[in-house]
Amino acid sequence: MATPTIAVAPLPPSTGPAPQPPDTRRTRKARRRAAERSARTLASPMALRGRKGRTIYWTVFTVLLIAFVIGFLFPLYWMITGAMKSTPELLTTPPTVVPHVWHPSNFASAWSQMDLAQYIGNTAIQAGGAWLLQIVFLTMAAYALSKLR
Amino acid sequence: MSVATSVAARLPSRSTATNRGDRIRRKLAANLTAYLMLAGGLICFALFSWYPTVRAFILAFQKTNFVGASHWVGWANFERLFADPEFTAAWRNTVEFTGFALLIGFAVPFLLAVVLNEMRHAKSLFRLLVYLPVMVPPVVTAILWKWFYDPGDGLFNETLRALHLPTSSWVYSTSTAVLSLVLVSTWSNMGSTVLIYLAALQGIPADLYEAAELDGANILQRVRHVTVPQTRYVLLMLMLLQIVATMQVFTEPFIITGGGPQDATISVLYLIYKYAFVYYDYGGACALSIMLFVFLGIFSAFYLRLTRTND
Repeated sequence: MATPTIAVAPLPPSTGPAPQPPDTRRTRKARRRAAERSARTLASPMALRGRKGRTIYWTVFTVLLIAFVIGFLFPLYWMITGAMKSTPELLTTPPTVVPHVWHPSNFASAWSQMDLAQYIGNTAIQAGGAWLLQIVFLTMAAYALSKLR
Repeated sequence: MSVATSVAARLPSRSTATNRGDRIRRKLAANLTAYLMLAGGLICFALFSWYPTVRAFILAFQKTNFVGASHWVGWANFERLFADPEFTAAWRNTVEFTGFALLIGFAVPFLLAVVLNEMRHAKSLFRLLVYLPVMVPPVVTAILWKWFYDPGDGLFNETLRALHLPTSSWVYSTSTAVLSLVLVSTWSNMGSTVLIYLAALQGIPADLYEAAELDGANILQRVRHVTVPQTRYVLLMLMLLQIVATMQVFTEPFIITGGGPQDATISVLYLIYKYAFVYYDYGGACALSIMLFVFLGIFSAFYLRLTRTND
């Protein structure tokens, strides 16, 4: 079903850039609130201001934040702390969330045992070379194409 | 050079003869520089993109080991592929992977972006969190998840056991292997899609939502009649890009499962790799490559045509 056209009240004529008030904390806050009002989304600002709206908003906010931390941050935390556990601790059941003994020396031994300096050097040369060639040739080609049009 | 001359000759002559000759010469010089500047990019493309493509088409009909002479074998490479049971398995798994990736990997980022767009606080924190996995190199992600999926010591089964829930064998069982790989790929690629959707959602004019609300549309109706139509083009384009990308899945099966268990996760690209670097059958690898290439090309053409005429 097509939405019927609605006569929208004309916006008040913009007065151009208004003289900026001194940048105090209060005006900054007010301006941010005004910007939030103008950029409305799916939920109406009115509904968000009510008691029920605020409860729903903060519930969704909390659930989302917890889910994001568990879903996106925790795996990386697990990877980094896992890198600092000793091998026996890594294999214990149940696993330890925080390493009992921190072994940052794992990084040093990995560095020396696996010739990482060489690999990082190779990567840098490869990535840097690709970057340089792309910057030079593609910028030139894009400029030429825009001129030839 | 000739193009430059013809372009210059077609220009309307509005001035004296000397002036015109001057202009032609200047135009030529300017375009000559342009073509010279274009040459660098063209050579790079030709060398690293077009030449290998053409060469793959030729190699698909040849038998070669890159040492001795290569000779033409007609369709023999294709016939050998069709007789290979791994060939059917690879296509079936790839299509299955793409299907799951559309169900999970396409819907979840959009819904997440719609909800994230409603958040008035900690916006940049949410964006940073969802983008974190994109910054992890794909191979590292695959190794990390392989560790999570471990049936004995893996984080997932340990957690399930601690909660007294039934455990799963994840990538080690033929029934759950593909789905488990889709989870990995969704986790690691979601960030960029969510950010693109967020940008598209911010482009929706607020009046549309206001008008819909005045008409009495509830939140779900507003999603259905305002959000989705307004982001339609981004949705359709990203869906095509995602299908093309997931049809070429390689890292996850290569690192996590090695194509197993019992060929349950071997993908088309992984089979190409196997033909080339395990069996040293370069002809077969090229034949399979151009099959995938032609398939994706035809699919993309159809898709673009369908979505365009639907307007």
